[in-house]
Amino acid sequence: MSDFPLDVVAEILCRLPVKSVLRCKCVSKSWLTLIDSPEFANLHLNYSLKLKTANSNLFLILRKVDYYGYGKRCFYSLHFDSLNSRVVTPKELTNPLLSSEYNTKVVGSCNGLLLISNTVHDIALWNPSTGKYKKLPVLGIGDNPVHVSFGFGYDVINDDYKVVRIVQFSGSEKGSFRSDVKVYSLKSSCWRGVDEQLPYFLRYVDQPGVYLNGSLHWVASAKMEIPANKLEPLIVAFDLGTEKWGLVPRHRYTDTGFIVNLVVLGGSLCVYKTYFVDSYDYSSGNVDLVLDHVDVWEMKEYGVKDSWTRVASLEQPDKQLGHTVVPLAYSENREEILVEQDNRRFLWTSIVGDSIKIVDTQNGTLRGFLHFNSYVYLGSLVKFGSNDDKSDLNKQYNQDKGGNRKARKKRMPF
Amino acid sequence: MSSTKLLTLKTSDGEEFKLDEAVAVKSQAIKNMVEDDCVSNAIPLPNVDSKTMTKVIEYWKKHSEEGVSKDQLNDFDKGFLEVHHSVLYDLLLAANYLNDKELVDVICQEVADRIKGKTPEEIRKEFDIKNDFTPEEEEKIRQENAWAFD
Repeated sequence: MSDFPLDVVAEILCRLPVKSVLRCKCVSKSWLTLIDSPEFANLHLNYSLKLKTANSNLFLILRKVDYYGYGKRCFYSLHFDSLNSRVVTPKELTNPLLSSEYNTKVVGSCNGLLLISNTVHDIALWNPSTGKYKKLPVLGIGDNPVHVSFGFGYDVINDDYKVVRIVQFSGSEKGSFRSDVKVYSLKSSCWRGVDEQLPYFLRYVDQPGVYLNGSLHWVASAKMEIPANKLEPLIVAFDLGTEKWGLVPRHRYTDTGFIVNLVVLGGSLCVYKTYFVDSYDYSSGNVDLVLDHVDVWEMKEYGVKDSWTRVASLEQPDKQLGHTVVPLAYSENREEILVEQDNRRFLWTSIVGDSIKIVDTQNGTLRGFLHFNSYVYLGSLVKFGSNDDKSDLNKQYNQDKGGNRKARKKRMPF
Repeated sequence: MSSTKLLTLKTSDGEEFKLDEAVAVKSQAIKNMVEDDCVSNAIPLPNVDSKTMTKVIEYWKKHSEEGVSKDQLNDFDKGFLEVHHSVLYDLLLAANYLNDKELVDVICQEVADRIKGKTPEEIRKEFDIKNDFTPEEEEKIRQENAWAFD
């Protein structure tokens, strides 16, 4: 193989999961140069993207919710294949924004890059597979916003990665609102404003923009009114190429009493509707709202209203504890959906039958996790261009307080 | 009148293979020559030996057969690729030279599957690649990508 043309070597290596590719960097200098090239990163990424439900290169990032003080490691990665094994052991990741004051959040995931944030001013792009990251310049918000939401995705037209920040304020008249939308382009490494107005009010702002096919999607309504569930939630889309807003047609809702969220499953935009019911608690005498079931609808053909199909109706195995059910991904054979339940465990729920398999995360190091949020990401080698943040991760730990012990272990130096 | 034409392919070790044109054009390189009308004599393939050509033709013929189910083709491919890696690499180089995308694809996947769990040293050994890193250089790469070496 020493006399293989490098483009043939590339064809072989691009089929490997990212972990194997990284090991191949040690094979020889020509292999290292090949793997480090942006062309190869794209080849590898495009190959991964073509396999819509093949999970050999898919990971979950777990953000441990720590009530007892931040500054501890909070990001862990879990490979999809390991969800089928007996003992599930997530790997600790080095958090580029590690801070003793904040529990860093994930607010975007696209092509193997994550957008993470401590505050609305302290955000960064991060590739957990390579460890490289890039902090975004600080951008002012304005006074007294109602809420701030982020989205991150790939602009297909301009071959650029963009971060979108939406800030919404109450307007002068009752019930009116105004929006301020800014876009950060990786190519230009700076923020700028978007002219076109966003005429919709975002709902469920703790859900960041969902990326699919060059656009970011949010759930929104035409008016800023409370209670929110009286209004039919719309799906609003921001085209990262044209930087214009539009609506994605949704299926007709014939009922009420649910919360709507967006997710991408198997390469399609999906909506999951969480239904709650009143539940009488005999011991306390209270009536609580309890999660009853979750319906998952898939838009089989993007933009086509009639293509919305209900693909699953998920019920909880033990109704007393239910608050949140978050669908994450299809299984390889599309017969099951991986779901995060109550921020504390994973379940494979069958679409074709009634079975539910609990992923045993109580063994291994997840036992110490009281609660976590999880997000899907692809293993990729995508870089941030020549503007990679070159700050030394070790130096950063020494500056921040707390969580210092591991600073000596050069896990992912820059 | 039959429209099948026979082409003659001549490998590096002088052997000649006669093959239906319809099958041979799985190779984009041969197809180009047919379209440029330079196939009246034997087509020379100096980069492919007869042993490898035999295997390639075996693959082409199976994949040109009528009435073969997808499962049968998969089974055939599996068996076809169960060869020593030196044979596999000769096949890959030949498929690349002949420009048969489908065969290159299939072989690349097989090679990738074989590399997947191996250490860099095992990969070098199997593929006869010289390690041109100093121990320090190699260690640096390992540290930068520590999680991949767990």
